[in-house]
Amino acid sequence: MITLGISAFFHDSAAALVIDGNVVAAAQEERFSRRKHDARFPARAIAFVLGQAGLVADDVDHVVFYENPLKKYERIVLNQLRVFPRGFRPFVHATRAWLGGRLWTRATIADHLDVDPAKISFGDHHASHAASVFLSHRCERAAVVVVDGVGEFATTTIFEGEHDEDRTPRLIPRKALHFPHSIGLFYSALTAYLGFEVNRGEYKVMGLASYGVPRYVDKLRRTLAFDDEGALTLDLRYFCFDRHRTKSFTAALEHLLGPARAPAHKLRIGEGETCGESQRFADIAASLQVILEDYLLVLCRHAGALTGANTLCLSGGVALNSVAMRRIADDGGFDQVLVHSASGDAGGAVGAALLKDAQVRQQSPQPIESCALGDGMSAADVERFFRDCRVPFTSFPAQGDALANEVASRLARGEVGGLCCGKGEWGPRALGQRSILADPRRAEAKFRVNAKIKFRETFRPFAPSVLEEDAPEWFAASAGADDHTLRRTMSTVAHVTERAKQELPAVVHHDATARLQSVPHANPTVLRRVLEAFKAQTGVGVLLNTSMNLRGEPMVQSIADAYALFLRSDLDFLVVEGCLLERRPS
Amino acid sequence: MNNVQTTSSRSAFLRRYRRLRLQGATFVALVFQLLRGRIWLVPLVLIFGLTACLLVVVSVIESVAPFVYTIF
Repeated sequence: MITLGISAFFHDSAAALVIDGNVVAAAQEERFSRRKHDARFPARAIAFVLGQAGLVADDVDHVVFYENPLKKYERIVLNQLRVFPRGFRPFVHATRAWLGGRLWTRATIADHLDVDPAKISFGDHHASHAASVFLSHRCERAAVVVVDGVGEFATTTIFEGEHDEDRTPRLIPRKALHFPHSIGLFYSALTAYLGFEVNRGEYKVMGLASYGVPRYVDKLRRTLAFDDEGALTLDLRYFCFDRHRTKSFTAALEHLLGPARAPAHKLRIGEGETCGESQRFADIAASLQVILEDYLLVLCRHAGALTGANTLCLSGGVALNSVAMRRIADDGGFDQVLVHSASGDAGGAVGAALLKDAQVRQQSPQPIESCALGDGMSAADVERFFRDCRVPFTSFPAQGDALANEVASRLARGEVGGLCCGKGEWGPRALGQRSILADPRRAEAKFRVNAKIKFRETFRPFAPSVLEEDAPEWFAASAGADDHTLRRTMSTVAHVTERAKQELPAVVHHDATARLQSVPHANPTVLRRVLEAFKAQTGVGVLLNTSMNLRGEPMVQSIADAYALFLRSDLDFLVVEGCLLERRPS
Repeated sequence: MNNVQTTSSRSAFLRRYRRLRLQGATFVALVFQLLRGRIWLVPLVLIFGLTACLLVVVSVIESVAPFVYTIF
């Protein structure tokens, strides 16, 4: 049975193909369109996933959209009735947008794919998120917690994930919070207050938090309340996302916390100098992080009590907060914590397809073994491309350690290089397929990557990739749940050891943590081989690993994207499959 | 990247007809969904609907406009 999952029209549109329970391919539209967080219909991503299996749209048995647009619009109408006469303009704007396209999703899909409309169905936003994590792991029974801004009506849902006697997986909703009371929207409103773009800047707030002292917790606590069962209520005197199109917080919040940060106001944090106003914003970010963690901890513990499960599956945009995932793994009281590698809305495409597949076939889907579900390239194509461009390159055999040794020795000499090998990663983290690598022992590597290649804020940390067996030397083990799957997908942080503080200055964040990626032995990727070679040469099995993109752009996908990035940045070398390009003096 | 391959070659008319049919079905489903369990919404929807129809008629048949304006 062939199932196509689609997510689109809000942010991070994506497509995923599931054949008889196996996720064959999944990709975000932004990787093809080169427009970050592209929300348009994922025509290119669909073409790619179908092409991976040699199929055309007519071969697909089911097309599932990850949420129900009618229910979503129903929520908008009911919200307007609730807040009337306020919020009428945003309602008119939203209605125009919905009548202009989103409402006719079934027709749009049928038009684009030319498939029988009867094949098209709608999932439930939070059920799709829940399925993306529960059905993609080997997991018998779990408490599944979905936390994001808002789905159709729900903002937070607890599911009980289990299997029937006949092995059919089921996701039973046990509890839900509804709009406008949402911890995700609370976080987004504070993201806007801190001068970052909503839905794009939340991870920057998380990075900023480690520079602050949570001295605003008491004040922020006045804006929301939650009980021991995770029931959350926002005080809507401070927030206006339910009645305003572009603004998400009110003057009352500024009265409480001080003036909001204007996006143009540069944060002087992490540059060895800290001015008072920047420190205030860092303190607010730290307070926000504390409140988010406190709430998630209460919610997850309640989910554990409600379901009696020892495994916790987390999904939704809030699950991308790797610092909070650390706290839940440590103190949540579970044996195991699992997060889908693309836990934002893109992951809904995989979840919707897996859930449909499981419901129709009445069987558990196969777990996803690797996040490399995106587009790949052959060595022959790469060589042809560089020859056509008349670019000198060195070719290395596909198998063997020569390439890894060459890359490792260049990194050890202080060079910064790009690694573009294999199929692209599914999710926002670079896991070695589309990565920029550097020597983590050199403090200046961080500044160089920031200032000359990534062009991003100096307070944002860089992540380390580490040989899984070497991780205990550098990073503290989890104090609670088994978090090895979180570590493999860069979904959690860990406190670093004293040795790491001394020897790996480029990847240790301000608060002595790192969002590590542990690379297992059973995963013989090029990154694994480079790590092994780097360890053989330097005694350190760790590398700085950041996504291969420039600021404001999506991760590279094709040979041309990688080469364009090489030309526009200050990378010393670039590896695409077996071909190595080096920067020569012009 | 190639566009999605289509295996059938429906005419533009059939495509447009299918789209209109699906949009109509979606609209009906939306109205039913909105009104399900909310009978109190029916008068509101009717007034909005009649107003919308009136506006369309007035904009299409100009000679009707003076009669409509006398209502207000």
